[in-house]
Amino acid sequence: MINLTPDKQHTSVVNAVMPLMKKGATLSYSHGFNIVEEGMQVREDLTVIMVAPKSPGSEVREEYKRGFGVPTLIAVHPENNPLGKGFDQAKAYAVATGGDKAGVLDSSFIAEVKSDLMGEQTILCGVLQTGSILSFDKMVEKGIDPAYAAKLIQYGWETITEALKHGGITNMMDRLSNPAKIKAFELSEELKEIMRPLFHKHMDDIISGEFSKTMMKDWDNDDKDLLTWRAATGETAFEKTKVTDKNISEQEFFDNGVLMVAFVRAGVELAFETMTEAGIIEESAYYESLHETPLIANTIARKKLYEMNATISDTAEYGCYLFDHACKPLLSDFMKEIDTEVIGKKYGEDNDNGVDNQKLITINEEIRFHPVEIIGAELRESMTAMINIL
Amino acid sequence: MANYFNTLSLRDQLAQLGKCRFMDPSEFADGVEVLKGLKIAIVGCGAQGLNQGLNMRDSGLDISYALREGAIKKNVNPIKMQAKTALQLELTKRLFLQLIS
Repeated sequence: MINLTPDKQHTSVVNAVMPLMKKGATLSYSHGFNIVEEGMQVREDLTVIMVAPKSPGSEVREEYKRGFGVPTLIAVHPENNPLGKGFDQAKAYAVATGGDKAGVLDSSFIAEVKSDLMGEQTILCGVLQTGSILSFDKMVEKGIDPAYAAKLIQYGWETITEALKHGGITNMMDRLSNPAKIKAFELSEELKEIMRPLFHKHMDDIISGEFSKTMMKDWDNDDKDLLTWRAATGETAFEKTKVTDKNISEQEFFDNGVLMVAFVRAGVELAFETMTEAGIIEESAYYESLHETPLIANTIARKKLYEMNATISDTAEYGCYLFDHACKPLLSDFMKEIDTEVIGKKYGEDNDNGVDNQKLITINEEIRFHPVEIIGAELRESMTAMINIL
Repeated sequence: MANYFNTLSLRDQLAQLGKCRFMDPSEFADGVEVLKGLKIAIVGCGAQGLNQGLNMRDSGLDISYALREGAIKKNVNPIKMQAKTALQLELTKRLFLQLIS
């Protein structure tokens, strides 16, 4: 029996299904919130496993049809493995969805839940939401055509993170001119310093169970907070502004979106650093931060933040709003210093491209020797190797 | 129900949090064998339910769905889209009736 309902329904679904399950049957999840955060007790004779594709469902299907798959995490709940068959079944399930062709992590319910929550609340959805709204409002305030600003943001995340998908933060930063790269680096360093306490708070609340407790209170209150915040997101100026028909070239998204590049670097690195500091293994932290960012950015390209929040789980959406509400005021001083040279117009348009050699070397090294880049290059390479074998 | 993570000792918490190993492709040599012939029912037919189920069906596994009655009545997208799942819908209805009875 495979339970693929929203988190909120898990307890009632599992309670309804359990009496119908034969002795010795298996119950599977794709996210462990119910087991880890709610403490669901499953009948002793049942095996409990998890097979969690690290992608939205649509991607799971598309990749399979191409003869491939998406990276997948598998786990067995240690309290429910009476026959010792859980691991083999989870492996076979990962083969059946195509996951084995993209890389499988042998992990635990706990590692999956804590890292998944952290990734989605911070870099994946939170930073993209906050970054979108702040960048858009800034451009409009400074006289950039709102229709252009809306397009730069809506499709900018997707274009920028496509570079991330292929070659990590290093490649994303390399797409900028040297002066723009130095500027993006400096902005992202500032962003990291300002946002780090908030990332820590999210991680701490996830580890302690405070986050899930808060969200479950909202479940009991008919999702009042979630629905209010969702409606408010639909009313933001970014969401309501029609995008221009004018073409923005692929390179222009980088040149005119230095601030967005800075948001992505800061968010990915902070999420990765915070997770690994908390004891989550680098492979897991990589998939829950850098790897998934382009997938979420694609949803914004389809229909802005509303689409992103509709596609992600209610749990991710709830955490995203918590992050966004705390992050915007934190960044208010930072944003006062921001002008259109880093968002909306080409950076350094009237200057030549000269930079200080030593400074550029130092910055390049900081970027490419960050731990997320080392593990990322390794994992991306093993995925490519698997495609070649096929 | 209590938060499961918080019921564990610190040692167990750290061990579970730090569990993650990138598996070798050779570990999947047995394919889908251990699930062949088993009756697999998926509860829910959202983005994950629908698409995982279709992949598993195409991998030769026996898949049925269990949906809420409202979702079945509304003839939701997966059922409309997938003519081949007509039989599964029947199974689903039966399973669903079992669930609510």
